[in-house]
Amino acid sequence: MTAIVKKERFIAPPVTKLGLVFPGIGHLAVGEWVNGLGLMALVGTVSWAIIAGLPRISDIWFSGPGGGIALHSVVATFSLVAVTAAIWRAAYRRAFPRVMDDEEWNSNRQIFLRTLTRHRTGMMGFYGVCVLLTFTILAPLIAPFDPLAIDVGPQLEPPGWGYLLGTDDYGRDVFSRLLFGARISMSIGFVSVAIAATMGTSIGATAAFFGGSVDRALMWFTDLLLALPRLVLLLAIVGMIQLKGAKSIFLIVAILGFTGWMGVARIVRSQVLSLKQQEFIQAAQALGFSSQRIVFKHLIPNAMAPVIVYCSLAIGATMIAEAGLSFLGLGVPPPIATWGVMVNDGRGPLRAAPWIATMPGLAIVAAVMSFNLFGDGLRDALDPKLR
Amino acid sequence: MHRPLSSIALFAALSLSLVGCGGEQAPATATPAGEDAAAAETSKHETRDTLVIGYQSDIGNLISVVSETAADGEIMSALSFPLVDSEFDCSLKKLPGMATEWSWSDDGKTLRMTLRDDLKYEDGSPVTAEDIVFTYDLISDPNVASARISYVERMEETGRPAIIDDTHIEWHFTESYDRDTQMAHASSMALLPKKHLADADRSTLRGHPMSKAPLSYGPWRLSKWEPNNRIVLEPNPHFSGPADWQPHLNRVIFKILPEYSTRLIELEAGNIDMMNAILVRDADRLRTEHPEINLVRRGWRSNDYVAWNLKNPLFADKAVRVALAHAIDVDKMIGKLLTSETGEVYAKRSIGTVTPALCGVHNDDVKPFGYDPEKAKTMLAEAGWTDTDGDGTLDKDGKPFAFTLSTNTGNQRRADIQILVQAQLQQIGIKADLEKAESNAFFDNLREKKFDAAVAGWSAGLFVDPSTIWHCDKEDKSYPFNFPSYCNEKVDELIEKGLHTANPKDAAPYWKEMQAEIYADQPYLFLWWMDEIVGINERFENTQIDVLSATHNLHQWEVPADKVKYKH
Amino acid sequence: MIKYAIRKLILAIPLVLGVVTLIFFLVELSPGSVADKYFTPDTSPEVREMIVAKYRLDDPAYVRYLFMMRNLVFLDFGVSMATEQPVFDLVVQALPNTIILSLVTLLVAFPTGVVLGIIQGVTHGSPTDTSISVSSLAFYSMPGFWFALMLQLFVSYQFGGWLLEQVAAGNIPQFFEMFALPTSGMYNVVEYDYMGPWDQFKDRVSHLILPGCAMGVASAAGTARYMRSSLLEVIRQDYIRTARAKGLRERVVILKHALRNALLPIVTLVGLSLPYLFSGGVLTEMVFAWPGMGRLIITAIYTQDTPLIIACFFIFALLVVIGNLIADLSYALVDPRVKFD
Repeated sequence: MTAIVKKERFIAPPVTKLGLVFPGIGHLAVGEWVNGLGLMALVGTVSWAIIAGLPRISDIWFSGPGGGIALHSVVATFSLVAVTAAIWRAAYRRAFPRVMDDEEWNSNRQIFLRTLTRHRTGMMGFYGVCVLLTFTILAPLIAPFDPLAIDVGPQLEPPGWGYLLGTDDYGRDVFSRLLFGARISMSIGFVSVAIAATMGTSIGATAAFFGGSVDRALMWFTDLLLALPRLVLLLAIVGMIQLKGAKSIFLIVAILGFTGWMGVARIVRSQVLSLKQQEFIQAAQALGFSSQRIVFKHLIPNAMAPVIVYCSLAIGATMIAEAGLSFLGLGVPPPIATWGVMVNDGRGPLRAAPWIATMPGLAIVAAVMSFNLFGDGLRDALDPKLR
Repeated sequence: MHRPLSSIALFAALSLSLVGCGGEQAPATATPAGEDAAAAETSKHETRDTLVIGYQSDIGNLISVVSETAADGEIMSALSFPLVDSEFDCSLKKLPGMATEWSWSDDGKTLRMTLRDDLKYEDGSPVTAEDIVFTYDLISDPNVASARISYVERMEETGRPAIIDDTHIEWHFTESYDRDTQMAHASSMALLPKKHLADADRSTLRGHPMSKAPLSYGPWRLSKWEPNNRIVLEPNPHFSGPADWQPHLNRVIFKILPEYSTRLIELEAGNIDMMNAILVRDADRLRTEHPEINLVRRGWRSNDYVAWNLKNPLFADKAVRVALAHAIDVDKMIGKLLTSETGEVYAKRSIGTVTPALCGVHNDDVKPFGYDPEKAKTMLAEAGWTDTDGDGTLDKDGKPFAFTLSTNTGNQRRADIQILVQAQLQQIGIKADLEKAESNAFFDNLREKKFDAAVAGWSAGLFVDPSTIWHCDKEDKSYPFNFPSYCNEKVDELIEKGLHTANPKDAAPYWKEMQAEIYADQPYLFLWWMDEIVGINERFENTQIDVLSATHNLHQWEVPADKVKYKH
Repeated sequence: MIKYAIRKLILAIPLVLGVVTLIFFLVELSPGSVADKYFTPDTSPEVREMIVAKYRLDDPAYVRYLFMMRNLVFLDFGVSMATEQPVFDLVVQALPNTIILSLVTLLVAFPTGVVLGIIQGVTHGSPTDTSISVSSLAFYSMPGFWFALMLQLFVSYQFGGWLLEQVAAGNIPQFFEMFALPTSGMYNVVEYDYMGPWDQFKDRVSHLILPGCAMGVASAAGTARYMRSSLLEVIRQDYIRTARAKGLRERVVILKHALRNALLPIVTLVGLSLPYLFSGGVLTEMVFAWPGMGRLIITAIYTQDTPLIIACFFIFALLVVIGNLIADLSYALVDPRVKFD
């Protein structure tokens, strides 16, 4: 194949300009249904936020304690603009693609993006994550009720038009709680994975770079922690600390992070080990660069690709682990509700009101699945063997 | 009354009754001996069908002096024959059991009992007065560390009890006080066989083999105990008590199901026949969808309250506590938590720790405060609490009115209370953070006064002894259950007077005055007394599920021949 | 082979010791005084002294550590704080139940995953592949306890109840009664004692299905994912191309040549997935009232029963080591290139 053919393939048929009117339609028209439906879902989310949120925008803004400005609502409103802009930009890009020269076309970045965007399930995951994040950020605009307010409706009202996903035993709106719960659940996922990735990267890189007994000791410790079922380890740590009275969301996040770094450490170690053999590192060593500089400037950046993949998968696993802790009553303290806490709250009324436990459970499945699909896509796109 | 046996029993996730606390049944015992399955068939009575009861948690220990949970007590009472049987109707009525008759000395210090001599353990050895002395000897031994040690506090060392002859014993008390309490202390223990336990190491009695394999002398015997799975009782073939105590059921199986929803599903599917503590929200539905399940109420058996720690400067001021009582709409909470959709109410507002079931003692004249948030705000303002910095939270001397409201894990209703109280306090500008601790840790915190405010509850005692809860806590911690550190000399005086009145009827005025006094002081935010809902399959007859216990006449339960479900 | 196994076992000892050390430090560092972690406030003074003497709670940490290690070597786990029963007895009662559940789950989930993976590998890129991929990923992404609740409510209670109703009404043959699965427990608590061996077996199996599903679907889905990618990798190899070029039938190529090699990495998975199974088992046991180690460890953590916690961790570590050993051995068994030396 010649470069010209590639470029021609990338020129959009005129029908994609439909996307400028309604993002997504252009993609659908040329048969890219994943992109099309994904964009349309995003547009739907945004319109929902506009229709539900704008008419009562002043109420939402001034819903802070004592009638003050609620910062998260203001952030949501500005995000609304940003998300809308991003959606239309994607539609515009499809309608008027940039013509690239050979060098750019064959750059790693472009190859990666091309592979990823052609990975159908990966893109499904991507749009899932996007829709979820949009819902999460725009929650204050979309949520019809205050998630913590009791008595916004009758108790244990089944799902219906007034209360989309029903109400719980305090008459709180399950849908609103789900939206706001997403913020906590996702933040817990992201932050603990960030902690885990940082720890794992430093430990793995240290082990590989210094080798010898440092390597053996660190890897032995890693294997040790990997040997224990994570939930059991979590239970023991959280139980011992929390049952003595110390209880906070930060504690949970930190502990989830500290029990999740082992996979990253292993990956980074093997990456660094193979990188160490490569000329540019040996050159850097020959030039007498400090260990710090070699590790942080050269080794780690080049070892990050598989870590990113691992992290996108780990976010899902972390959300499930958090849910498990909540299920045992060791999760974040009320009235904050993560999805796991909500499932736990729904156990009592499982027979009387099955939706209270079912809905957040489905949300967990959807979120974790999106992250996993996206992670798979990332892996395939980053793995040169599979291209 | 209100004699807490243990943290587990008190704060158990569901309000199971406290056996031993109301002077209910008697004894249990244990044998290391094996099973005798064939012997069951020699039972004199025709028996049929099996009763399956869903239990939340496993039992722990079947040696009466060291057992802890309500579940332990329920099983032990089935395995033993009470020294004095009871029945409840406004107050505890005593019926003959192992003691066929009893009499009090004029000074109220000596209780003389006449005993049956025909009772036998399942291994054939007789139950003797020696065993009673032995059991109380164990209770009073500090090495045993029995939670029932208070039973012997006011007994003469030589009279717990003194053996007159084979069939007569005498209990000697150090002073004359309330006879119901005295009787309960003397008759609430399941007896232990001296023959088997005399040589046991007293400091490790909890781990003695008999704690797993008790020696029965009651209508039932323990056939199987599979930890965390099931407990199987079968009629005791060697039971030598009265003929009307012979069981009519083939077996009683306690199935351990830790999840409430699992228990409920199993009840609805008919796989278990009975479960305690059904939530109000499920009651209506059960009634319409499952006519085969009878819902029985056990009235006013336990209460919920919020204890304020009076040592905390926030709550030291009585006016503040009264204001808080006005700020919380208890009736609305009852409507939300303890009222079914069809409007059936399963609770009554409480004004103290004396259960309304003790009619004649409960002070009906004390009316609970109404909901009046405006008045609450005014009172708080008078006490110096206003929102000076406009952040929505009241403050005084620069400190916000913020505290932690704790409760134990595993109890949905208390978690509900936490949330509702938090929401209502927020409306008048008080910030409550919520916290849940595991039951034992929570209870320890309460005893050590390491809390700001706590949602907790008591099971009702069926005779009055408020001293453990309300008597001024001295430095020696003799009243560790006075969680708020409440101290009112007048109340102490009334308690002493009441306890030293031999005839419980004469003590009623003291108790009523005490209740009024305590309610005015508001050391607790008194919430309610509630009914426990017990679901039981309608094929069982002669059940007597009442305030005393759900299964205290288990031996009388029977199934008509045409309704039998299980062949075995 | 035996030598190989023994050597692997010896190599695993530091791992078990490490886990125990870790848990020792956890106990040591958690809030509260060390002595308080070994008895409850109700413990009698004499027992208190005894426990202090036995575990040398007055001694410095390293002495206590050495004593704990010595006791563990002799499987002396001490006495549970909550019940004062020997911890060893408690563990012995619970462990077999957990092993039954995990092993049966593993034995069913694993082959299922392999078969699904093969189907996906063979039909690579087709709608079958994608749909299996997506649906197995959905199961993989499910919190096990939530799935357990859903199974209980919808499969056991509602579907099962409906089946029984239909059978009772005579609408469908009695045969279908067996698909009404029990909601909880290990066996029918009433009838089990009076059943014949065959019925007992059937009863046990029917009680295993739902908890097994709740625990197993995730590992089946995981296995399928691995199997698929492993098979795809093998199919790309030259010798497969050669085999195809020879004109062998596709079926033979896949089953005889590709499969054998693709299975190699999967075999190790069996042993390695043990810890994940136990992890899932903890919550599943709660929901299905299964009297196993998960229930034990949760009770231990809730009641802060230190000796029991340490014993449970020790057992978990042992099981993991055994799992790893099985993985190593089975790998050596199926791969002729690995020699036992």
